[in-house]
Amino acid sequence: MLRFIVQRLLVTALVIAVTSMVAFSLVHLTGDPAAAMAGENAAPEDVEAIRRTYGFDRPIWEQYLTWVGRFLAGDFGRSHYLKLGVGEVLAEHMPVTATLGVLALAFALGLSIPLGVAAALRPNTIVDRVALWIAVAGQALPSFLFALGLIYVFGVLLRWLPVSGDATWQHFILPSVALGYYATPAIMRLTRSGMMEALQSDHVRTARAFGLSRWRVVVRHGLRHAIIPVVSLAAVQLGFMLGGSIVIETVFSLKGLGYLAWQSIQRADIEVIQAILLVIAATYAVLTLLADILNAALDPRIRIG
Amino acid sequence: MTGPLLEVRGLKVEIAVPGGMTRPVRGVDFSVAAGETLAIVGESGCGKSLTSLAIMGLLPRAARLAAETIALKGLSLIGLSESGWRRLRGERIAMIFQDPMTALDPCYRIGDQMAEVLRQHRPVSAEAARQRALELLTRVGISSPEQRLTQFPHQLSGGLRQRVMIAMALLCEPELIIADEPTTALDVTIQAQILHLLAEIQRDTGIGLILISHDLGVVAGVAHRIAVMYGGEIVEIGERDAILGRPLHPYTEGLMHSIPVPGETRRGETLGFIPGTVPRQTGELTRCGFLERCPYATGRSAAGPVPLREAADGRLVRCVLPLDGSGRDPAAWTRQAEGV
Ligand SMILES: Nc1ncnc2c1ncn2[C@@H]1O[C@H](COP(=O)(O)OP(=O)(O)OP(=O)(O)O)[C@@H](O)[C@H]1O
Ligand SMILES: [Mg+2]
Repeated sequence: MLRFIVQRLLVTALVIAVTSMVAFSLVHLTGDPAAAMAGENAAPEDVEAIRRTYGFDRPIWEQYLTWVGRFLAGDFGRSHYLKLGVGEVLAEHMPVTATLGVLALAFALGLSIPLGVAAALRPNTIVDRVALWIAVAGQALPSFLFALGLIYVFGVLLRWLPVSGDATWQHFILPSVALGYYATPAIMRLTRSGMMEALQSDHVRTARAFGLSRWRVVVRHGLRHAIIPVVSLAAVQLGFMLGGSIVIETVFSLKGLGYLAWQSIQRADIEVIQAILLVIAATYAVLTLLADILNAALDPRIRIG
Repeated sequence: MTGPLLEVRGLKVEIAVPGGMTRPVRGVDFSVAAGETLAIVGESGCGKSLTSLAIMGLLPRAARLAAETIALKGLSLIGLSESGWRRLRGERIAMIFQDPMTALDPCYRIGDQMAEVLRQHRPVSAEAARQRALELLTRVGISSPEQRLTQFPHQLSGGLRQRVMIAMALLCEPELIIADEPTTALDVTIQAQILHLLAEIQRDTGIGLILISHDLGVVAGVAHRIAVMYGGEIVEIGERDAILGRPLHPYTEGLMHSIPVPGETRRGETLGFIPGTVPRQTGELTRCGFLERCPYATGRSAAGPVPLREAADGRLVRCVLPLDGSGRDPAAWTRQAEGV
């Protein structure tokens, strides 16, 4: 198990290193950062001065190494627009997005796993069709329209929930539903097919042949197996949600990472953009790592070779 | 003891398949007494597994069951409720399956799986369940049982896993054990050990045992009675010694010619002697089901469905030939195999 984790940690570090390089290059090669920072009406001398101050005139690999070195030393740089350390800026916005992502995932799993199980227990019946319908209805709508629909029904008509800002936990309910709902069809389908397969398996037949209760057969001997691939999918979906939270954060006026990224791009706030890209890349990689470890914990055949 | 332990009368299984209905089990009658081993023998696809699954109430959803009687000590199992089944399975009837590599749940330790079964049926503490599991692992000849309790199935060999399955079947002291091809997936030497173990347990506990196999040679040594199945029907059923001494149904005779010699017939190899395969017939039989492959077939074989008839020694045979054993020439098999 220890060797397994060390192996995966190395892979994760490699993934983060590569994505950080790509992210860094993209930011620096898709425009002239000095010109963007100086603004439209700046004199050429000013642009040149900025270029030298920030080191944009040096070779890109040298800039990258400097940046990585600073990052590893705990210096995340400064936002030239906000006049704040990038660390402080991230610390302010990250918890909002993290909360949103975790709640959205919880909602997605809480809805799609029971639906998938119900569908697998009664395949090709009305139960199956209704479960699928619940998971996919509304998927055709763009997420902002779905979000606006939620706001209209639960915020405006029923007045049950707040629709804007991040002051209380209630503020997170509608955004989490709006964000998490888009992950339900994939998770539901995977749960359903995994359950169908598990219920056909020999060990489930054994469990039934020994008179175990229905709950034990379905959950302990069926779902336990079906859930293993769902873990990996959930990690990927959480990554998508974090990436896709920009629309939802905008609709619900949540000041999270998506919002920050959007603002920073408009302000050409390069240090912040780079840091966000790195955080997102690292989050993807770490989520995948966690999924692998959780998989190993769930499946003794991986854990004990 | 009054009446049999298990009584099965008129058992039929039909399965809806694309374009019609198959009839894998076409009216099977047999009974098992306490303290008796009944072997059910027949080649792949003749309906042995479906027969045993029907007794356990575990038929696939697509299958339809019809039977006059399926009764365990007078308790009818037809139309039993789900909770009624749960109190029966594992508790009064236990089943051992063919493939020990997949029959145990790979996610749980041996000890936990055994304790789960016992505690489903008996209100015992976790510690008591552990002790009982230990006792039974020892009983089925597993060395260092404490260590096995904490292992996962994939850490055990096939033979050991089948021993675990047998131990699990014994947990609640059932009255009947159904073993469906319990040794088919194992190496020849292990096969003999497992069969010997089953026979010994059957003798010591006095339970009823149904031993299913496609290999007459495998069960010949341990069965008290033998039922030979062909195409969803029992074609011959009676005392072991009588049947092995002189088979009366041509199919049984063919099976005996094809008993594999240990070491010369590999696992998974089909029996070579009886030419052809079991024909899939969808409707009711209108003639002898074995007709196409029978070297002795006569005009009367095709005249109508063949009923079971009782021979002088009490066994039942589904054949139109005289039941004194006359009218058969074993050389006919060789001629048929050679296509003469
Ligand atoms: N779920 C099913 N759907 C359709 N046909 C089935 C199904 N299960 C079994 N059958 C058919 O029923 C027949 C009898 O099956 P069964 O499993 O009882 O055979 P068996 O005698 O146990 O053979 P084997 O030695 O291969 O285990 C086979 O021809 C099989 O194709
Ligand atoms: Mg079978």
